[in-house]
Amino acid sequence: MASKAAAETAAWAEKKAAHRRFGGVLQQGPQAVLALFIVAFGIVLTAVSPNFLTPLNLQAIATGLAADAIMAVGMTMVLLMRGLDLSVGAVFALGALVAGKLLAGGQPILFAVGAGLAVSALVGVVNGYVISRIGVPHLIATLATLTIARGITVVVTQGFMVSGFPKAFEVVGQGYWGIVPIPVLIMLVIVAAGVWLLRNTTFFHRLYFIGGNPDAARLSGIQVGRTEIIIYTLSAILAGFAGIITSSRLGVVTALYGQGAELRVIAACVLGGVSIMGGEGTVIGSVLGVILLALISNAFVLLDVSVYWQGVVSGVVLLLAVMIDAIRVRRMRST
Amino acid sequence: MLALRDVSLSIEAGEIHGLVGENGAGKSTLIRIVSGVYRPTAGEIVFDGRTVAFGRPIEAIESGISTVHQELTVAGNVTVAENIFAGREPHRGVGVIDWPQMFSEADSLLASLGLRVSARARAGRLSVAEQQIVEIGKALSRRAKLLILDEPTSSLSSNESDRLLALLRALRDKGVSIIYISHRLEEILSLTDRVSVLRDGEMVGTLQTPGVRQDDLIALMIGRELAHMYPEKSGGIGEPLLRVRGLRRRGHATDIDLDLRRGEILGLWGLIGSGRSGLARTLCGIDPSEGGTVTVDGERVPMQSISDAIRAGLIYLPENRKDEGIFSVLDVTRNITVSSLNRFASRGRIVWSEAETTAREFVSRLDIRTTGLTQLLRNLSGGNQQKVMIARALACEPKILLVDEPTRGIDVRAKAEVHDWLRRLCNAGVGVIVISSELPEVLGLCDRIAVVRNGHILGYIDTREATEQTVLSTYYGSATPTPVAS
Repeated sequence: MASKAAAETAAWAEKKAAHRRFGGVLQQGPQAVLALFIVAFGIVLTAVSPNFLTPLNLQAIATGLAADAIMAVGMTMVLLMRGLDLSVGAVFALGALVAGKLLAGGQPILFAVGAGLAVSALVGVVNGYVISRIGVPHLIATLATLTIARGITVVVTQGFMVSGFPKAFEVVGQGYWGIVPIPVLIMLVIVAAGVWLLRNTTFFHRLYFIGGNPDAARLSGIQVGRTEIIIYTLSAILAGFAGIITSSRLGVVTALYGQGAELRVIAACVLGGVSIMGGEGTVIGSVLGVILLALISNAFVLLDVSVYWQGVVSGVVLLLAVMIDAIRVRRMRST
Repeated sequence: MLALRDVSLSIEAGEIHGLVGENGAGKSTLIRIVSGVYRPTAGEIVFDGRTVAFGRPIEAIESGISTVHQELTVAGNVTVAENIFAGREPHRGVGVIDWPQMFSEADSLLASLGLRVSARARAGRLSVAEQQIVEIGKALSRRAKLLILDEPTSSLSSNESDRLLALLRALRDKGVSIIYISHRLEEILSLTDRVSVLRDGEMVGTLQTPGVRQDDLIALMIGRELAHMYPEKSGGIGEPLLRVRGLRRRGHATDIDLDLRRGEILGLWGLIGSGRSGLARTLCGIDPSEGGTVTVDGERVPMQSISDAIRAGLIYLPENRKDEGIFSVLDVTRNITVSSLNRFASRGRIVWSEAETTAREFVSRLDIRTTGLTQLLRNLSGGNQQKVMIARALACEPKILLVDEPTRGIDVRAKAEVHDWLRRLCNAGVGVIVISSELPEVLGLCDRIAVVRNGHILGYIDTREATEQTVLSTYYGSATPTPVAS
């Protein structure tokens, strides 16, 4: 009896050790792997292009990825609780458009931005409500709100650009704090807040429980539905905010604003170790994913490859990322 | 672990053969092997004069063995005829379904089974009893020679059951063999020609049914010694700790009345499907209730949600550890503190050092075998996962603990430790309610047993003077129990 138990324990320990050898890198540190990969990729780019490691190029990369990183904070939270938000790209456009129209019409900046965020939040509330209270699958619900929000931007712009923002507004997107572009500074603040909140507050930390096992979370006294509504709303607000920052940087809003951003952001999160099955992942990982995607698209520019290839590469990267996630999940189940 | 050991069973042509045994005795495993779901590790199956080895369920079905599982597999969104002929629809030409042919064949089949339902009806509209007969029709349309029915009457009314049993007798007279599994011993005795009894994965006997009494079957089903020593029972039982009056589950007709006294472990016992878990879940605000009062420690508490229950000190430990209990991708600390996270937070901010201190305390108090607080739960053994669940409940400082099947699927040693802990909690003043389908466990562990059937409490039994026989007799209604709570 005792020897049998001992044998079982030994077998188990051996299995675990084998597991650590083969699957450990993927499981224990997707972020570490990703960070190393980013450094390696940076070294390669430095070697092949003299224009990569220049202050100007690095500033451009950082500014370019700020909006995606802001959205990735919200998306990480949504994915952590086993959700999905496809509407962020369209909300990005809608938020920027509402604020932009009001600014172009001479409204005060705070009011315009507030209105843009409020409309974004409304989309998020609809997402959360339809998903958690009505029980519509998140994929379908957010696909529908994506289409609606994108439709509204097309109707409102009629295909024309919205521009003519006050200088005081454009300063936010185009200014610098030392050598750091202001959008990057804002992004860093939001990322830091996301990291801290998820780790240290009961409300946000519970996302891990909800995604890890929704039934058990409910039985543990967590109000799953209420949390879902709040997080979808937050995701939409962050998307709208990212859109507004971007419009401040570019000085225009178009109907195609943020198109495809949702897939890029989801890909970045999954690359960064956030599990599509929920319960696992960090904001830091997601931001690293955003950085890697930004480097890839920067490589296209530096190496003078047609931008039309970018869609193909983004798709391949997304597929690879979810495959890695699926393998991780399967390996987890088999233990 | 072996689920079945050296089991032999022979079924004659045109025989109804009963199969009985306690939960976990191996009935389901046995029929899953016969119907091709599992492969046996040793032994052989001879069917219709041929030795067969089924790799997949479809192979068993094609050789003439069809199974109607307890959970029906009727597709509700398509017609009855499509359900019957799924995958074998009559065709005219390649890939073109011959609908008139299919409906007329299905209609005549249904008529032969005495079911007055159109083959064009959507299957989801049928009652459970009718769906069951559709499943039998499906089996017969595949020319089944052996029909296996697993608890077919568990969700039928007595009228519907009678009609089903009559149909089964008619099928037998046409030469179909039937294996009939049921917890309802009355049915087994009235329906079957022979009956086989499984216990702990072994076949303990096959009897000619005529002349067998219910008590004989029960004795065969339970005839074993207690597996281990249970902790000593309560010395003194105090005043009421939990008092439930007239609590009504939504969708259920009967009220729940229940009393739990300080210093006792109360067992809620009933067979699978008796509604014991549903009763407990209503008590804890998980399943919605309407009306009725719940009093904890002399104080009336609201019971609208799970958070209400947790606040009132009623903590439920779910039966299904994997699906409803553990967070397998999260670590030990988080799993222990999830329900009590607010205690370690000031204004919403978690003080992790305090949570970790508490987790560490429970790991050593409950002797949880882990490599550390950051080990993920999926890497712990079942017994240790269960202890983590107990720690989670204790971290909420419960007044009353409801544990659903606390020792299912864990080894004997961990079992004894869990029992020991429940008793110590009880001695420390926590009310403990154990929900279990394992009769020896409730008898050995609890001070009183509430016998549950059809979602309500039939009566209370003091375990000091009870045997498995008296409990089962109360359940089956062949003895008068002591009246419901004083």
